[in-house]
Amino acid sequence: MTQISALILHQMRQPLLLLLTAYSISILGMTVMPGVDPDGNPWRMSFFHAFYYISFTATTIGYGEIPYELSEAQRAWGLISLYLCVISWLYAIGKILTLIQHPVYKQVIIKTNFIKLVKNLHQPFYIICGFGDTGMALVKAMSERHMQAVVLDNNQEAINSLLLKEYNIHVPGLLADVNHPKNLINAGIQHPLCQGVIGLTNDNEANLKIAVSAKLLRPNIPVICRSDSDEVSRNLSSFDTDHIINPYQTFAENLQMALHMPGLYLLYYWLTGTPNQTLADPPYPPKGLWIVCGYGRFGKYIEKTLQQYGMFVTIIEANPSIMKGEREFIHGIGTEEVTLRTASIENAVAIVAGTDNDSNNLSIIMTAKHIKPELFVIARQNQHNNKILFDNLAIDILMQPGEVIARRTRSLLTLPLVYEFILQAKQQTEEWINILISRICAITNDQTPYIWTVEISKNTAPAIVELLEKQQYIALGVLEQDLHFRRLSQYCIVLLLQRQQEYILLPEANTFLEIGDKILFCSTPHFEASIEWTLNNSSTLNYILTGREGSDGIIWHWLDQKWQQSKST
Amino acid sequence: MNHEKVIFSFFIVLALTLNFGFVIGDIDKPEHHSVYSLFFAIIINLAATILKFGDRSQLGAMLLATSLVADLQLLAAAIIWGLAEHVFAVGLSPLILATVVELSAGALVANVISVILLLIETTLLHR
Repeated sequence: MTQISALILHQMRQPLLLLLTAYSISILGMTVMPGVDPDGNPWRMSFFHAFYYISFTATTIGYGEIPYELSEAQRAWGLISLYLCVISWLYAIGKILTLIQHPVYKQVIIKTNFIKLVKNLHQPFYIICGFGDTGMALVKAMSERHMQAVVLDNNQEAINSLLLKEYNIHVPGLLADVNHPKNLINAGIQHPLCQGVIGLTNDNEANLKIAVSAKLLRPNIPVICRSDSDEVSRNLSSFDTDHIINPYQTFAENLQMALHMPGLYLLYYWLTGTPNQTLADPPYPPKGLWIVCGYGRFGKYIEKTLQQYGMFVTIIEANPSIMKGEREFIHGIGTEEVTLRTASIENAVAIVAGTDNDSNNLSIIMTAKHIKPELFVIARQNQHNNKILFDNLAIDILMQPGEVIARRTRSLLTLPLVYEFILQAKQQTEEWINILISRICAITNDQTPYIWTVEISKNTAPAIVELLEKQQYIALGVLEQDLHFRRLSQYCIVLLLQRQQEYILLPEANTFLEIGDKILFCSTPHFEASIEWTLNNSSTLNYILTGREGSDGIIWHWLDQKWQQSKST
Repeated sequence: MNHEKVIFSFFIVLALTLNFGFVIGDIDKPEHHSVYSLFFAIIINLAATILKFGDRSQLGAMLLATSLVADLQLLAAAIIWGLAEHVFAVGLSPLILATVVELSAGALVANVISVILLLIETTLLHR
């Protein structure tokens, strides 16, 4: 800032000197010019009058000939000063306006305001580097849960789109190169309320740089990073990056879930998805021969997963050098019928269009479906704007790297318990999951459920904590009761209860609450608002526990006690 | 030879000499203190100040400060003079003139410091 204001002041020297010269010549001349006062005595303007006269002349206000009518000599000098000063003013104003609108100067102002905004943040926030499709989806999900984000991106268009978005909370964004650690500091990495750094750029190297800088500048906050390559992932984990998200690996894990237990896969998608969308049926990947087109990073992960579940896999790959003679493959892209027939598509049950080219992937699916319409299809979509095209094909599982990362990051940040819940649910039987799914369907009217976490702490559940501190027992079921008709149980499912390091899956309604418990609820947004009452308002809680409204004031409380005593005697 | 340095030195020394010219003489004798002398002193001082705008060096900042002090003192002197003559119509009484000259003498000290700083800079940066 000081640098740029120094530059601007330096540039203003010239117009200011010009103005000074014009004014001093005009004023001096005016005091010298001979004049005559009304009595006919020779008279000259004093500096006071000359300055006054020139001031209103130079600014083209023109009050007239003051204090006395001017002599011809004074008028002649007045003419000269008028043109001299007015032209100087025009030049100076033009110059100053250009300087203020200088792009560098503007950029500095924007940056200074951003730093000030971040410095004054009063709630915990996350720094998000990269505002592409993934970053956008994440910021949207965070703002829906009133979580503060600060965005850095090196693309002007991305920052512009951030400015145009309307979020629940103001999200500060800055056009900055994330490779410069200075920019992370500007975004508040050393701010005491900074909760974590998330690197979501398309560039692995940039994400690596973000993780290194974050770990050095602020060692004890979590870092979440996207990484497409194994090498970078290993590098990231070497200095304890907290979560490394590889879109291909994550997708392969999800596919594994779909192969292992389709119900669990469905549950994962519901719990991590956005609420109020129509529930979809789970995909059932068939057993048999699979054809995988494209043996890049994506293809390799898919192949590994499929082989774990005993599938036969045929690879189609256009570039023999990728294969390095590791295994047999069919040479070609897979877009032509000949290639697919060589891979004996007639006997296959499923096809994976996994090349890094969207047009090829679309073409592979169209050709394959033409030969065998009942094929199970997994497609990889590389470009965000091709979604409409992929939606028009009947695809069973669509893989978008951005969406996969956004989903994982979103659940890591906003709902860490969901991740734990899925891990616990993996240990359960298929039947257990199917029962849970039908229970969820029943309470949410075939819409994706709303998931949220409640912590039993002084800040988030004061009414409950107050009673717990009085050694009262409160069962978990209390939270599920309706505010207005306490005997009716409301429609909600408690998925998980975390007590210190212990996790209780689908806890019973008679489980007693303890201070510090974290509870994962699954219901509708409407129900979250109603639970807030029970958690925060002691008379509501009292009504639910006893069926009576409690008395709030001292006098009512005293009368209440008297009445109770007289009744008992 | 630095072009900018020459111009600035010219202005700062001229500001000092003009200022000196105005201050010298009996403190309460109007005939020893010309209004034109004060006018030129103010103009040249302002020019010297503007010439130091945006100078980021330590010495540049010091010079800006001293010449701003001189401006302030001289402008205050001019304003008192103008007010006495035109607004309150007391005229240029010895008391008023003494105040004006005192203020300009203060400005003279500031200008002397400016010149000393300039001399130090020149000696230190002798190449």
